[in-house]
Amino acid sequence: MKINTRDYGEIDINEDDILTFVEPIFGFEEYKKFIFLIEEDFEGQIAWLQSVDEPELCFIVANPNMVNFEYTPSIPEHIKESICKDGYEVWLMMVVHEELKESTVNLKSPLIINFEKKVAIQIILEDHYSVRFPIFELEKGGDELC
Amino acid sequence: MLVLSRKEGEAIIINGNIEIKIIEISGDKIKVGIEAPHDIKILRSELCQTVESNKQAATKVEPNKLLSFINRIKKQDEKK
Repeated sequence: MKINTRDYGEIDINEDDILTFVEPIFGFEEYKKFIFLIEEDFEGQIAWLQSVDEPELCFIVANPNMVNFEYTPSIPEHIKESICKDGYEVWLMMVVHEELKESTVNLKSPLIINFEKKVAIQIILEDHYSVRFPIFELEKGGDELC
Repeated sequence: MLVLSRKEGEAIIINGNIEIKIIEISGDKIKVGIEAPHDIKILRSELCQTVESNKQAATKVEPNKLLSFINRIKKQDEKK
């Protein structure tokens, strides 16, 4: 099927690849269907979460590998038993700031995506992680900031 | 910021119509009860912050900006 995207114009997607958010992304309650587009210029570290229904709605997301410490979110049991079953990936909402050095990722509220079952959810962790973790402050004792 | 000490079972009242009560303290968690008029919106702060940062994550990043971002990340990775 063809969909309109914010950054890539009209693209052809496989309907089977559409992800359904079982609970909406916080602040975006009307939108449940998204397509995950890997940014090819960057080794699978950055991706786009493009709404299937609203061309102008597109999130930039980052692979947690981007932060240079071990990110170990405590995913609640009920999510592990439902969304996570048979394999899942964790991605982070990212804010690329006008001043690059102020760019952040949200470690507190990761996206849990099951690409096999095509379901996803954003959760808010109990862990002491930051909503705005500065990506480029890592060399300066980033561990304290998380 | 106004800072008050309260014990379990004690409360504070804001504006004469909002009551915040300390229900239970156990370990590093505190259960708080809030009584307020229906039109008062109450949210966990991390939810508000997440909504705000989600909105920003949905802001278009110009291709040039993205490219310099990617280059900067690569440089950081080389330093590791």
